[in-house]
Amino acid sequence: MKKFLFFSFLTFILFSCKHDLENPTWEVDMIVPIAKAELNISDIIEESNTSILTSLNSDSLVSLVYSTELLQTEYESLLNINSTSVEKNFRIDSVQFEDVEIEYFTTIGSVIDQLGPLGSALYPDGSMREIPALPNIIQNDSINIDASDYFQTMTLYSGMMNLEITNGFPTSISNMTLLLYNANNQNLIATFSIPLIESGESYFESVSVANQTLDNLMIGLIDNMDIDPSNGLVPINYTDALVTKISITDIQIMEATAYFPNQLLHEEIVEQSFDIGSARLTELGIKQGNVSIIASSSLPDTVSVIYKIPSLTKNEVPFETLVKIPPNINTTPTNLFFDFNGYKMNLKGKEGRIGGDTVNTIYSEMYIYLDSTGELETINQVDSFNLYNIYNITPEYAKGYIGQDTFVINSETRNTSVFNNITDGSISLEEANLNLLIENNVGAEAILKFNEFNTDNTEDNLPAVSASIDENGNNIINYPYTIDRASLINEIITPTKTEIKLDASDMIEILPNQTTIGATIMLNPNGAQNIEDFIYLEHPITASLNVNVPLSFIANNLTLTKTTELDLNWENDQEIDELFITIENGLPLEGIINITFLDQNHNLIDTVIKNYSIISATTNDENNVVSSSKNTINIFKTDFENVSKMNIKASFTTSSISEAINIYSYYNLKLNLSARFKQMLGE
Amino acid sequence: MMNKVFLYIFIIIPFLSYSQEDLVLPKVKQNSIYLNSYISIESNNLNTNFLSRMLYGGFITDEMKDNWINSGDENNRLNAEFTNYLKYEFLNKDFNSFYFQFSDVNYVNCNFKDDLLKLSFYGNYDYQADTLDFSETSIRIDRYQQYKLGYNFNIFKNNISWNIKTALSYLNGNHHMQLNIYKGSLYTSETGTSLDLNYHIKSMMTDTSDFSPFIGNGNGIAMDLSLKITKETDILEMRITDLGYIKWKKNSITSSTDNNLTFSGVEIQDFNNLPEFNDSILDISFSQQTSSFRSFIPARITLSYNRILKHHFIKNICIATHSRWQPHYVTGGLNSDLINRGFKESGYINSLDINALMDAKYLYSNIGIIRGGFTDKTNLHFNIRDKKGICTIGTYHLNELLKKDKSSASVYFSLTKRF
Repeated sequence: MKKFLFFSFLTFILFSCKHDLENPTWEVDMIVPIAKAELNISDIIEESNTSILTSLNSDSLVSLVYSTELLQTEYESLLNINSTSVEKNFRIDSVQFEDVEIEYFTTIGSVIDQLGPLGSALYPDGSMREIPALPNIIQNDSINIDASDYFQTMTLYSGMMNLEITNGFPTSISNMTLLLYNANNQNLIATFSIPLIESGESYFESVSVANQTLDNLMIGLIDNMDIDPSNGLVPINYTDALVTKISITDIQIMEATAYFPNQLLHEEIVEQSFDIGSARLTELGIKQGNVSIIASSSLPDTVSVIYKIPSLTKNEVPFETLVKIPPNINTTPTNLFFDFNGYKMNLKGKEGRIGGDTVNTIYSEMYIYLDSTGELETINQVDSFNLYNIYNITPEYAKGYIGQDTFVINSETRNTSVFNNITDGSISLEEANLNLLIENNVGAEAILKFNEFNTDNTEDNLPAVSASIDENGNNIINYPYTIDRASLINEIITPTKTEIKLDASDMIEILPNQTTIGATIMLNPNGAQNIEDFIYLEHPITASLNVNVPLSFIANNLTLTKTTELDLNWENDQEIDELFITIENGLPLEGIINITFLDQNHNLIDTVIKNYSIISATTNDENNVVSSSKNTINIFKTDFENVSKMNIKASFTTSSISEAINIYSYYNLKLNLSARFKQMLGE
Repeated sequence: MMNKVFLYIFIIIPFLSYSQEDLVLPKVKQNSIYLNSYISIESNNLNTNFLSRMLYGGFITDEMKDNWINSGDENNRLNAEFTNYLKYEFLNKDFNSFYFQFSDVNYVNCNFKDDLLKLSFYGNYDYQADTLDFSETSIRIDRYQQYKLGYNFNIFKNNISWNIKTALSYLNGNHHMQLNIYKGSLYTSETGTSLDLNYHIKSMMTDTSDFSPFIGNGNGIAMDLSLKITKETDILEMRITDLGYIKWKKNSITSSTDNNLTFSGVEIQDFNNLPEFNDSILDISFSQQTSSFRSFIPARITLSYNRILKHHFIKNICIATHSRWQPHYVTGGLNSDLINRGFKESGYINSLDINALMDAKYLYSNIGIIRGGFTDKTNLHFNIRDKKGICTIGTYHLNELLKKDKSSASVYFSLTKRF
């Protein structure tokens, strides 16, 4: 019992002393560098305004460089050669049909058989006999003419039914009448009257069967035939025959159910000219282009079209294509599309043409065939085949004489954001050089006139400042600047450059937010020259503006305001208690800076820095920097929640406001960002 | 004041109740079983308030930080041990003995400078334009079991007793964690625009996938050797115990990094495309590999002189010096550098111990003073045991016992059964 009590007491003591292990907590106060940057004036400018670049002159003085394209001519209208051909229609009457020929033999043996058993006794085969006159030897005898191998029925627009009889009998025949009937309806097709055919002679007669309907089965009715006396012994040979040949020729069909052979329906060999205004082009490069052939056919057979354009070549291979136009029941046209991208178009017409080369003209050949199916097909005179083509061409270039055109580039006002961030203050520039660079990539002379060229700050309620005179003393507005033609060697353009220089300090010191410019360009002011013109649409005449402003200036409270997106949603939960921005200012500029945090809707969340003065670098008597100044900005615990934008407003004044200060490339600004944060550890 | 009063009363009571009898030694029996438990936490500068916060949590105020940092000198040492052992000993008729001892050992040993505390507790904000040096920081944590076989024998010659004790131990290593910052400093510039960080860090750690208390992550050996010479009433003893090491298995992780870097924030080249903040100074890359390594257990070296007195109250007096030897690492064989480093890297300052055995009426009491070790103070060493030697209880830091903020504390307890 004592042991039990002892152990119970011991257990109680031990467990009553037991303390759960837990983590201690404490707060640490850390300061860590976040970011650093070393910026010279070029970095600062190019960071804040991507449209401005900087350059250095020989003594490292920094210049601001701003370039923009001012004008660009467009010549699509000059080279508009889109055209649509006349629609061609081919009706069935133009369909040709092969001649129909049927032969029929009447042997002398068969005639002797007409005489009965006595006939072969009197006129045995191989004997020599005198043949008496046998009038009316054949009466109402019929022969079957089968044209099923050619057609089933045929109504002809025109055609000739031809009869050729060759007399192989040993004596002449006479007074023969042959009537041709359709077997089905027994309509009389043609009547042939043969007065006399000497032995060994032939008789030929043609009868028009226009507007007749022919069946494949026809009956030739020999109404009468006389055999004339031989007047002496003549050899009796049973195989000698009277050969009757019936043919139908020059067939033009109104409607037929027949086996139509392959045949050429139409051929067209033409020169097609394009209307390109005053231009007289000899060659055109096609950047993008096509020709569409829109064809429709109600013929029961496929139509083949062979289309050749020898004037259109790619890698020296002329364009040629064979396409099939299928039978079309629902009359929906077939649209055939041929890509002309990259082709070169010879506009001199047919090679070796009479009268020599021409301009603006292409040569093409088209052949249209009817394909046979080998089956009976019914073709009606209303059946037709028609087509037309559409040229849709975007040229890459053109050669020849490109005409005497005037292009008016209407005055256009452009907004410029270069000075948008400057909201207050003034700046006085030592100089500002403005160059207008006109680059002519066209193989033709031109004259450029500026109709308007000015800059304006719409916020200052003052009139726009117009460009005045160039370095040669010419008034820039309306002065006809002559622009030389570009040259083309091995398809490489060497443009000409015309530079117009002027001092634009007045135009820039107003901190413009608008530029207005308009001009007129006249091509070939002196008409066609001996040298061939050329124009590449992607290389027109351009005018660009280049402004070079050496950073030698006086700034007085020049205020820059900028609102930037800001994402302070750090992935970790670290709460920053204090931010330190350490600035080593090596620029001869002093400034006052204000920074506010804004929400998505530009509502103020917190003023982070208010009227903090950044001390200018120390300068000597020549206004050159001799040492940097150190500035530390403390940003105390700020509410970063919902911050999505940061507004920075900084006003700068040069260290001297009576003498211009120079900004050199080796002046720089060192920035260090560090953060103090308190963190509870152990939680 | 009250604490001191209690302390004095506690010490004085055994002296006031002394016995007139001679020192009574227990009757010699051949078999003995010992159960011993020892727990000790010692520091030169840090106190129990520090340990309490570290172990049991709570908010650490600036006042506490100041107290911990400003107490004592620049270097902080902290050593904690918790050892339990069970020992069986057989004594033959020639007074030679064999014994087997099973011990479960846990210890933590740390050395670090105030600057590490400053950085850890305050951060670097208050140390702008200043360098915080936390070189020579070491943290060692070990847990192992020790199976010791010992043999003690006596030689009597020319009226001199030579007592030689030997023992050989097998060590079953459970866990080891060691971090050494050989070189470490952080310079923070004004307004924190840059940080200069130098460090050479090495760490060794056993497999972390299993923290079972008795897992076998390493094997080792250790030896004891002591010589005690007794001539009449004078006893001179030299003793080395637990000189050995554990070789940890190949799945242990060793890491090292050595760098010297200056960080001044990410460099912004383009303000319109700010880079992501990636603080490379926080991204310390370790060269890490799994390999076997050796770590030493703390070897104790004692040289003592003991004189038996004929006094009726003070039975003997002893002067001893204690040292420890435990190098951080070993490369190659035994050499003078390793020997010297072992003493230095143990974090133990040679201690001088003077104590005396008192014969009270009902028990014996051993009381002494000790200076050195892991503290810079002079501590009172005190224990009491019954006259049969069955139960002993004591502490090496009696003077700290009743203090509210103790820099050291220890207690040991022993039960003995003889038969």
